[in-house]
Amino acid sequence: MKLFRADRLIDGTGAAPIEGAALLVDGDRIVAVGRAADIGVPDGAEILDAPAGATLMPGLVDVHVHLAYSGAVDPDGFRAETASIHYPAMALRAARYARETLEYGFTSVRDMHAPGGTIIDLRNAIDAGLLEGPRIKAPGLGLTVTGGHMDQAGFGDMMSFRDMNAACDGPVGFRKGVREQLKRGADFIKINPCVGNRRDDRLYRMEMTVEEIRAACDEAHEQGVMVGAHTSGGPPLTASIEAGCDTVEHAHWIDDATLEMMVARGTFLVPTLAVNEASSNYVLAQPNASPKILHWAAASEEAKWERLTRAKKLGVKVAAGSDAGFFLEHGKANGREIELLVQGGYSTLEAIHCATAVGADLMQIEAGRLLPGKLADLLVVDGNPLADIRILRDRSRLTVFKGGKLAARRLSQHAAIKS
Amino acid sequence: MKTVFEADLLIDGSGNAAIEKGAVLVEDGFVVAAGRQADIGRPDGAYVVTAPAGATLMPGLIDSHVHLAYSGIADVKKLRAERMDSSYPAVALAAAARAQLSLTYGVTALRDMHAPGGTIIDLRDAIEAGDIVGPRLRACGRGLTVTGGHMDPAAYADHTTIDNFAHACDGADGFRRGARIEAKRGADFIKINSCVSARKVPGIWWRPEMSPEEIRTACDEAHGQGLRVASHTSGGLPLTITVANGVDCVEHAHWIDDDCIELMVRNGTYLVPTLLVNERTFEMPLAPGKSYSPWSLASREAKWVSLQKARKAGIKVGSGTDAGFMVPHGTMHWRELALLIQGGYTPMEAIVAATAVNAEIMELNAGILAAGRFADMLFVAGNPLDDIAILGDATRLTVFKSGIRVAEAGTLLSSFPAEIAA
Repeated sequence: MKLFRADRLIDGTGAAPIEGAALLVDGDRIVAVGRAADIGVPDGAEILDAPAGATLMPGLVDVHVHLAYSGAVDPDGFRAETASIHYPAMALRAARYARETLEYGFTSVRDMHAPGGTIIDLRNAIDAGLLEGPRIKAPGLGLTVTGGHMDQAGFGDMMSFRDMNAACDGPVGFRKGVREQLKRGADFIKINPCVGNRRDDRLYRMEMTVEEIRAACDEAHEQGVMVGAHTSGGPPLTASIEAGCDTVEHAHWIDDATLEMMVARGTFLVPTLAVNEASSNYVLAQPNASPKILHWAAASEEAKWERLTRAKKLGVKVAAGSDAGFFLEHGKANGREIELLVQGGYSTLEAIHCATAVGADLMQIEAGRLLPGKLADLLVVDGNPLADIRILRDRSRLTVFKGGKLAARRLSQHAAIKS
Repeated sequence: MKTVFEADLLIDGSGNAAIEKGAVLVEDGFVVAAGRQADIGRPDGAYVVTAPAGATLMPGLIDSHVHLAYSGIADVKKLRAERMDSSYPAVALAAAARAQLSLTYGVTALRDMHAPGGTIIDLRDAIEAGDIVGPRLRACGRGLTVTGGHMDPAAYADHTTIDNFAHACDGADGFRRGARIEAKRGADFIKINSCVSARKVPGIWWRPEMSPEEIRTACDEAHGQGLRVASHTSGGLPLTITVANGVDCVEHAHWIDDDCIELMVRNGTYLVPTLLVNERTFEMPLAPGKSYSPWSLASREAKWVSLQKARKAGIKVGSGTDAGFMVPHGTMHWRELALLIQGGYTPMEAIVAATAVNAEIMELNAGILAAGRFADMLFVAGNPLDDIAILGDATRLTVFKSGIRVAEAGTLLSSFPAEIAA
């Protein structure tokens, strides 16, 4: 057994921190949490005293990442990389991104689309203990209509790709798509029902039909998995939720009636503020950005804050998802989402709740809360993130435990030589 | 940054006598000088890393015949299931873990002798890019083989096809194209299967599988592209023909005729006798009512005779385990050295086979602790010249790659190299 003691413990539930806290871990599970004075020192427990002023908290959870991608911002570079990296190489590179993500305190991530089963295979390698990384939930390929958000036009007629996109058409097509990804080992299904329009100024439009969304959700639910949906907003978003989507990603434009429906249904919102910020910054820096793109960027920037305020007020479950892998580097950038939740009106304690307990609930993993019986995924943070949320992005302040085991091990070059 | 590594004993890998109170000066990952502590000194500002008393400083070990894509499982049905059930990204990830395990056993470089789907080529690149900590790799991609040959097994049903799995070639042009395809995918060398075992006629334990023209063409193409050729062989006349047609390194080669020995000397052909995998046959439990095959028994004896002949003739012998087949990765590497010693090599000669000669086979700037080479090194608690088996005890090893401590006492210090290099 390991006994962690720290000046402060944030349990992830949103409750006020415990001062002078202790947490007892047996194997990979938490067995007791409370005041150090109450917990005492069980016989034979290894004592791990955090430095003065340090905080114990749950490992962070990022529910929207793309481990198969580098975060390259240049669209041509991104497309070249997509077509040039073999899947074994993609999996190996993703192993590095996963490792870096873990070292930045994220003990669980939800991948939102990757070619060639790469992240499903990486999940298995990590679960088997072959390589170190966060817990991963992966959907395999995101399902999309022909020419849709995840089957983008642009490559020449002579190009063909294997296992890179999963274009489906019609309810039967989507049902089959769901079955194929689950056969490959997906933990949940990603679909793309609702997008911003590429051809005119519409901020959102249906890309899948309601029948297609319903067929995908029915099949996924029948097989016992959730459905995550790339969405933009408005009535198409409402229709996506009504048709059965369990989590909506991005979702910039949501009216109150839809938010109330989400509360009633338990639908999660993943606002991906960080990628929105990064993509807007990128777009604004492009000298030749089209008015349509500038319009969408400006409108989404404005809508995302206003929507977040109402979602919080109405009690929608909001989870932290950065979209790292697009515009954002793995590891370094994931924590930006937590800072932006604070900027958007969440208290530091609430933002941590979104990035721990809510994320774990969304991923259906027994983590995200420092409570007895939960997985001992936890961080020792040098400092108080409630006073300054930014310290969570300072890797030198983090010591990471996954399943009770020290996960991240840092060595300076001198230490590496001198031991 | 300069670092001096000091130990009570220094084996430099060249075959020169071990040096008492030895030291290696390393700068930016490369050896600057190696010799007596008294001569190397401690340059101003240099870090000094001193091995515990009684320890040996020596080059990292190299295994010149492995299959990282395979686990080493001996059961043929399980091996086939493993091959059919693992997607190539999964193969690459499992191979990464095996490569890392090998590293903790002091193996700082590996030559992979066939893997499906470009997996080990990609792993090599991932290690070089710093995505994964691992040994230096040389990979051939897929081994070229004739239709139905050694590396195109007939075990699968008519309705079963497997992409990028085997690389069957036929005719001289077929092998030329095969070499080009593997080179295009990123191969460091070309693997062929020119000569295989035969079991029908006692005493004729070998048969050719590729024609002389096919061998010659594969070699011509590879050499034209600046790549070496290694070949799976069994022995006899087909082995001689293999050597005569340009192969640079012969693997297994249990039966080597005297004229073949002469030819190998003349051509500078390397031999990787893979003694351990041959012996492993006899460590596997026999099924009830089964006995060891005449081929196994004959090759078991012949390999010692061939090894003696090769040693006497001065042929350069590399140390390769065939890990991945019946031999687990990492843990048994030391046993190939032990078998070389059993076959008449001195402990120092066995170490040279597993360091300098292997590095030469792989055209790798390592294997000897000499100026300009990678500082891939081990601290070994004890003296392997007295007891080679201590190389198999990972708890005795501290492993340095490019002068950076990557594993210690059987534990990888980080699977993430950027952490170490930062």
